[in-house]
Amino acid sequence: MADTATDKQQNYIVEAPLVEGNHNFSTITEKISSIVESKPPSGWLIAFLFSFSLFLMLNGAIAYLLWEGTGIWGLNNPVGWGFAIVNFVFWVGIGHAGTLISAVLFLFRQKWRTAINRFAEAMTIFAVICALLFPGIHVGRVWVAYFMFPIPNQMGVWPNFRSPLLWDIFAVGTYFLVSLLFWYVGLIPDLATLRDRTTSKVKRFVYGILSLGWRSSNRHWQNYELAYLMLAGLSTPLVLSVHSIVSTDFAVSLLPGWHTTIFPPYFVAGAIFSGFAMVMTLAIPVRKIYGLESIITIGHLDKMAKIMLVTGSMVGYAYAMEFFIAWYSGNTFESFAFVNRAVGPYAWAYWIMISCNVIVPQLFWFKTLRTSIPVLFIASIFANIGMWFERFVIVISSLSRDYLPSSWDYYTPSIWDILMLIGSFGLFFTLFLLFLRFIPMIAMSEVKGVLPEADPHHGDVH
Amino acid sequence: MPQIKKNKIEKTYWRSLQDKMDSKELESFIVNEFPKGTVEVSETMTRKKFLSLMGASMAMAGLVGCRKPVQKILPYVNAPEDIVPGIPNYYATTMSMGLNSFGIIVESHEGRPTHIEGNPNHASSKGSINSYVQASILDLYDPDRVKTPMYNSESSNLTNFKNELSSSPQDDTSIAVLSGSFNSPTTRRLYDKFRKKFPTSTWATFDLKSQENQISGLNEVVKEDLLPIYHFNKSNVILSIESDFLGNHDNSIHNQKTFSESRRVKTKEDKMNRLYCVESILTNTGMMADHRYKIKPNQAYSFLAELNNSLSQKGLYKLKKINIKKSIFDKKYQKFIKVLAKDLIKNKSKSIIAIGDELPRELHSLAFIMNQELNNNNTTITYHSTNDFLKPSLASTKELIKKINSGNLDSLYILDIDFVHLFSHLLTDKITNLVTNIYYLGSHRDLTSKISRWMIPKSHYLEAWGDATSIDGTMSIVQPLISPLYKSISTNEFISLLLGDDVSDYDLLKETEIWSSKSSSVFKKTIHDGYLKSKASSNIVNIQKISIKSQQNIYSKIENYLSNEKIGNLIARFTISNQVYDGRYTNNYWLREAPDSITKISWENVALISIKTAKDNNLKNSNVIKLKSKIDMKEFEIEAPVWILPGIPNDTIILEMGYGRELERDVDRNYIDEDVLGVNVLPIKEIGNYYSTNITLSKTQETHKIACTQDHHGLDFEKLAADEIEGRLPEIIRESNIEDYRLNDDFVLDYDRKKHIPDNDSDLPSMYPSHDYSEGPQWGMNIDLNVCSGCNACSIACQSENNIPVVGKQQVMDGREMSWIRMDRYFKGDIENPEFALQPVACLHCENAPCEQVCPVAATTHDKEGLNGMTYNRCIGTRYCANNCPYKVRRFNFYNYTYDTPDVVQMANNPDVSIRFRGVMEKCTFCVQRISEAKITAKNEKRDLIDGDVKVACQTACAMDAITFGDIIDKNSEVSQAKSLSHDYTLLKELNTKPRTTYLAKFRNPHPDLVEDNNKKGIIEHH
Repeated sequence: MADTATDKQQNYIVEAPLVEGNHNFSTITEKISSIVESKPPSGWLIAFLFSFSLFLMLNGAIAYLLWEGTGIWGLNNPVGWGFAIVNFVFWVGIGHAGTLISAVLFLFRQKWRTAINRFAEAMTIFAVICALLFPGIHVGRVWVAYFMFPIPNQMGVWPNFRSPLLWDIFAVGTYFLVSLLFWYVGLIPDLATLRDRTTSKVKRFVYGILSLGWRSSNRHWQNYELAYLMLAGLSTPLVLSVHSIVSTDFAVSLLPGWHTTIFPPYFVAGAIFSGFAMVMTLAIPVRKIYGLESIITIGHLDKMAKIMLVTGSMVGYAYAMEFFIAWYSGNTFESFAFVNRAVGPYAWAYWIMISCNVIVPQLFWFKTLRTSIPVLFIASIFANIGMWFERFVIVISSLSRDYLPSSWDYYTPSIWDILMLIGSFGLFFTLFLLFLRFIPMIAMSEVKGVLPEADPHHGDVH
Repeated sequence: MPQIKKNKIEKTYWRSLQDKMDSKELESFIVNEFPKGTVEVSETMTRKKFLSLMGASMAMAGLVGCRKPVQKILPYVNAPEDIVPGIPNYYATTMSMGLNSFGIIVESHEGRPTHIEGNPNHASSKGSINSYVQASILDLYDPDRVKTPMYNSESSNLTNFKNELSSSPQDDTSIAVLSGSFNSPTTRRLYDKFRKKFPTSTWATFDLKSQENQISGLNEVVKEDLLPIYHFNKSNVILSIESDFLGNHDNSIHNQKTFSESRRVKTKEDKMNRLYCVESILTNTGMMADHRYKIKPNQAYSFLAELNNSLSQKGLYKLKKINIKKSIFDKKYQKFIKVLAKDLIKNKSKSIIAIGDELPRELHSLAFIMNQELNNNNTTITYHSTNDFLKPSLASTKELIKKINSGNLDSLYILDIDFVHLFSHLLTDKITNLVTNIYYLGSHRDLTSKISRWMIPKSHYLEAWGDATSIDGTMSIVQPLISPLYKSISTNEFISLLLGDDVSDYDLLKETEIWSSKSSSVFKKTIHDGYLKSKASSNIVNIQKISIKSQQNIYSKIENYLSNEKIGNLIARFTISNQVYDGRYTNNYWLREAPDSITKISWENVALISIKTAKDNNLKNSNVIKLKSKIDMKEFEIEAPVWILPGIPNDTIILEMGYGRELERDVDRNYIDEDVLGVNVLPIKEIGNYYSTNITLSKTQETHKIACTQDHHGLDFEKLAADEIEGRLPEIIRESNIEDYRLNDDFVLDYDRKKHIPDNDSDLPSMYPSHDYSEGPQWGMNIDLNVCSGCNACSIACQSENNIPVVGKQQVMDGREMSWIRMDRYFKGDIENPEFALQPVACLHCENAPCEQVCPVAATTHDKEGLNGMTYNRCIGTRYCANNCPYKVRRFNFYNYTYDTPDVVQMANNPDVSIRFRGVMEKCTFCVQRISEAKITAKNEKRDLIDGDVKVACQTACAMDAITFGDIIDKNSEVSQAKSLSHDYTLLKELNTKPRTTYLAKFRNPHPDLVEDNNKKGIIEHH
């Protein structure tokens, strides 16, 4: 019998198992729950204190900003948007991978997603929180920022629905809510597991509330699966819409370098690229520190690297296309904007962007590099840097030299710009570390679903 | 005070005069101004009130931060005559500057002068102003003015000063007075009285920007003290030699008015004057020139001599030939001189040779002789007697310095001159060791005030009665608009105190013969009109033949000079500043911040050098250099940052005077009190010379940051940018030679046609349906680039009218200047001899405004009259509108720039325009407050608006009449007429923004024989 089975298997392309090692249902539960239940490793505390102090610094910087005004930034007359908007677009981009992994890959039945979807989604939510911070504080009069919301009021004025900034509010707001909901729905069975395992009354109470009375009944599972599928269906268009809309902030304007129709797809590709890079940056240390190599396997990293290669190349294509269109259009302002990017005063930023976003991902053509942890880690960090610079190049180089040369100027970030950028990472990592500590970072129920035991035909030989 | 009837009713809205009643001066001002007027609510604090306030403030601690405290305003109990709250009054008065004076109309809100416009009937202002006149209103409210008389730098009072004056024995010979020149009949009367009373005393008159050479140069030929007035409207060919008659000139407004008259082109048939400019500096006049030839400062002699010879050769046989050993000019210049001579002779009696005030007197004489032979005198140039003026006299000043150095002086009376700033380097010892008592009438606690025994605050001209004469002889009244804000006295009162009298300035005025002889009704009318009608142009001196002897005398002097000339390698050329003038506007922040129209530098002076000089000495912008000079065996040195400017002669360093006046300030202003002193360049200048040749230059290791608004960080030395600008200039600035225009009158469309842009705006496709603009009035503006000299008057007028904050040097360096009008300046052609183009750009009020579409809160919207409005209350400050503005004319309040505006400066604000808070976007509104005012007036008068009802602030200020504004639906309106001209064009038309402000193209009128010189293509640079 055993021989027959081996023979038969040889006729199929054998896919590497999604979970390595001798895991079964209970070891999975044990492995993942114990991270939340036991004392965190000492590194966690250090990392948390570090991120938290950066977060406090961000608070201080924001307080100073609100006190003094946007003048503390390096903005000037042609360059009305600086780091704040760059950071906003960057974080929204980071926030792309989560929903893509959980929703789109779910719909495409990509089972490997189960190992990374939970914390990719968490990352999404925290990145969107970081992103939402910036449009809020970048306006000149923060205390009336609510004018942007379509709230019935006595002033008799509605927001201007023609403005892409308003579209942003709807697009990013919707994305945030749906992602949060999706993440939470996926968490319910795992929260119930934690509730059932804990010995602490407080935890039982908190997890009990959060798990909404989950009893793992067949009926629950049926409703859950349906809700999850529907949310996945809802989220999928959002993955495409949110960054498309964000890109209209630029595309709708008439500034050379902003006014291009290629922006929506190009921004989405870039967002997926940066999102996966960030997942990789986070997953590599986490799997090592928490000993999760058997669940987040090298195979997962390999697949993510492939996606980065695809999206990175798409981004590279878009960069080339921008140049082509600028030349082909015959619009001199447009062509100058792009030549100026490549050889003008911001050429340094442009070439950082090209190296990190176009050249570095090309390493992933090679399987050895795709499966080398150090290469993956460093390349993913480069991709993050590159994507930040992409937004920097788009926002700043276009603004600094537009139509009338008399108003050209050079933008230099102030110390507050830089502190707020660093501080936003503090906010992100603070939230992320809290997530690692209190919420199962891997979807236990879903990983169990991809174990061989979960297959009803497990053990059958046909 | 009879006021000008503007016959207008404005909106009944007014603001309390003070925001806080905590300053003593303000309180006294209010009491003085409204003796029976307002009663302010007194704020007394009771225990109960204190507790309730504390409770409330704790409860609302989070809320109160956003709101200003409530101000209570009570109505007048007994209303002052003529004052209707919210409706400004207009009074005529006069501002003197140098030997000229300008008639002005001052807008006064509830007794508080706020804005200055030209007096349309006054001969020397003709309804317009220049930037100094406009900005002078800020000097009235200067918070750093001296407020009480100071005795040895301690606050004292006037009575003590009077007592001291009357008790101190006055020995004639040990008394000296130092003053500037003046043209006031009353001051002149007092001066004569003084000289009679103290016959052996010294009275020195010193002007840093002096007309002495002009007057004495003419005197040498005509034997009379005269000043010329140029009538450019009657001339076809104008030659300026170092004369900035359109810029820093005593009669600049008259010059601009008449110049633009013969410069303006409306149709193909219109004539246009031709301006040749020969100069060693770069001036506004030079930027306007059709042919500008740079010379070194010392070459003016040679140039005029060769021109003289050329003229004589070409037909002016009466001109004597000057012997020149060897011409210092190259072929290009030789040709230019020949063509110029030909052109001048061709336009005999229709040309003008204008030469700079500072040039030596022989050259003034020579220019006069040439004008005489060209039949220009009495036709295009009239000469006016200056007998009644107290003229500047360098000799008297030198004598005074000598007397001071000899230690024989007991009392020195200084009338509003910063003695220490100007002369301390000429003294042999500390002045306090040389002169026993110094009495100083001045307005600021400058260095002179520190060494003075008595410092007496001087009244601003809007605070005192007086009189003035213009160069053309118009007698004007200086009428106060407000009681003195501080315990100050006028110059006349001060002199009267020196005479032992104590008479008020009004009585002093009335005692003067010209006014005492007038009946009260004539006097009253004169005050109402601002000037005396009958006396105008009576001082014209008809020029007769010139005596041969004096002519020969002059020629021999020039020959003498030319044969003895010795010149070092490096020349420092001194000039008057466009910002601080001769230093008197040091504390006027409007003028200081307005970028110089040529260098685009604000706040400070620099050492200007040419590109080659920079390369030779290995200098870059902002490097600090040390300049040494030996004067009378003494070494002097100064340090100044350099700035590279195309179009100035090599091996020449241009230094602006008047900076570096140290003042003690009463009020520190956060955004302004940066390091903005500038450099005092006077120590290396020989008194009386406008250039010095024995200069050595050395580079220091230091750099000094310069706030320049147009070439940030030297961007434009970059080839990429320079090439791009070259490509864009033909689109941005459309220009043509006048001859080409006559052949091709729609040349402005050439560029568009090449780029396949439709001729008409309406043919550009748009996604959005256009607004309905069919019903009038539809506001529009037109700016004639052909007559704009970039003098900044519009920009300052806008600042005054629209309460635009001053932001300080650091903010300007950060690129955050707030001025609503940006004066763009471009260089074109050869980097050594560039051509210039100027373009004022304010909000263009696009019909398809890109800013409106992107504002998320609809804070910027269109009204049905075509105005692109800003609702400050609604603006949340996303700055998206500014990003999307292709003209970059929106200005953002990055900080709360007005929070520390001193109370007294707030009084200069126009109450019809709101103050913008931090975080709010602002921009040109087309003076919407003036539009509303005009509409209300018309409605009250039950009539329709007519053309000319609305005049915007920049338009009235512009002496060149480059700006027209009005209803574009009305085909007969001035603006429609301008817009219908074939050379009217839209800036960045292909963007389909449909701006309401359009430009009239620039013309150049080169001499046909010199055209190829001008067209030599070089690198096109913009700086």
